[in-house]
Amino acid sequence: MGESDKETITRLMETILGTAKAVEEMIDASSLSECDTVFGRVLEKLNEFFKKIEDSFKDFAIFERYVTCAYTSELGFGLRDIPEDIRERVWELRENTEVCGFTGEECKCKKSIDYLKERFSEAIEKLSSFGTSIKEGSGELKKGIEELGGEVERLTLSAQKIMSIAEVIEIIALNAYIEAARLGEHGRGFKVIADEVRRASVRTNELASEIIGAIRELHSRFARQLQAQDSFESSMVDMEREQKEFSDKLNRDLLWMAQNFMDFLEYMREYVKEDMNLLQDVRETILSALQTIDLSSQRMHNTRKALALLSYMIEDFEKVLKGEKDPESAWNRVQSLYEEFRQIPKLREEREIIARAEGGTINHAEEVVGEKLEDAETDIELF
Amino acid sequence: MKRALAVDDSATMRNLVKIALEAEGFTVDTAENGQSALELAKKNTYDIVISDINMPVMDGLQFLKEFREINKRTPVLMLTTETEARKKEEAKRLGATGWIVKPFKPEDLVKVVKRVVR
Repeated sequence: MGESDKETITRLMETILGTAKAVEEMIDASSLSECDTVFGRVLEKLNEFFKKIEDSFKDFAIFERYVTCAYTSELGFGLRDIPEDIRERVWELRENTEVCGFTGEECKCKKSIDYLKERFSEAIEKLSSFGTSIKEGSGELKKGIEELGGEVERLTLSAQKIMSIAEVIEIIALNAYIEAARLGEHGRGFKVIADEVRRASVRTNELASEIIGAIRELHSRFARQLQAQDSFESSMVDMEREQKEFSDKLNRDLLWMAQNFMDFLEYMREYVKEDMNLLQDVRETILSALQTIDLSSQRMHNTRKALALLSYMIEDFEKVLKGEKDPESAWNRVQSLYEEFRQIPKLREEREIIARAEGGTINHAEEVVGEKLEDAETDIELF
Repeated sequence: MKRALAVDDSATMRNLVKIALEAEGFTVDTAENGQSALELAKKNTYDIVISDINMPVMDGLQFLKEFREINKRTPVLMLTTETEARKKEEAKRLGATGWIVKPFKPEDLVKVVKRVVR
């Protein structure tokens, strides 16, 4: 073997070794260890996600019970913005007093509604009793007014009688005066007149007593009417106070229930938001994993091609060693195979491997052709 | 509604592009090589085409060349693992609108698509 052949064989060996080294790196780069890390991350995320979903379902079960609570639905709570199918179930379950978000004794809305019912009943009873009192008062007033009318008639009659008596007394007095003047010393007539006057006077006194009695009765009746009026006014004040108290309590309870419901919705909203963020996270991880798998598959494909070319190189070298092929033609063949090998790599990392195998580096800044999109994590250029 | 054509021999990549753009309200057709894509492009009008380069039957650059003979206006983004300047220059010369290197973030793809689609 001449000196020139030795040099050719050395070059052949160096090229084959360089190619083998690069192929080794390519195999390392295309190994599934990266996929394993990515899958680990995906599994971790999925596990976290499913745990969260499980928790969410538990909360949703409570939420569903809450919105289907027969008591709250009576007041229309929990029915706003609820999906149609749940709303229908609410109405189906409405008559079932056993259905409640917190079940049995724990049900705050049941307690609250029961309390409200009790308060309603009390208030209605009181209103009813006030109504009877008003009715009775009104009847008494009517009767009193009627009786008052009778008294007035009686008083009128008495007054007429007094007037008649007064007229009689006046006539008698006039007659007595005339008789006294005509008879002179005959004073018998005066006795008769005196008797008449006395009787008239007695009768007048009796009538006066009757009138006084009637007025007293009238006064007393008016006093009773006034008392009934005072009692009625006092009842009205009590009723207004009760109504206000009841209304305040009702407002407080309704506000409490509404607040309770709103708090729960807010809690659920935050919880769902967290789930959605996690879901987005999981989605991105899976998409990234899918790309990694795709790129790994491409790397494997490239590496397989590189290995095939390396095996052709070794075959030629073997032929040279066996004397079946001259070193020069083997060198030409290996050079051609190596050029083919250089054309294989497509991924940036693979190009870097080849550059390193040739003792060089790649300047990525010099490879930018268009306008680089700065606000993106992905390598993007616009032409 | 905007219409997009995603061309890639990898079903994973085709679907990733489809998922990302459909989430933005696009209707997305897919093709697994340049030739199928060209047939679709002759029948339909697209607002954007996103194509891989290394594909069997007809590669992305050949597809770009033939697509530009029938359509000069629709933006075409090359979505590839290739990073060599000479490949980018060739795509630019053939009428590509942009170059996206795999792996890509879906939101970045959406960002660049919105920028080039009118």
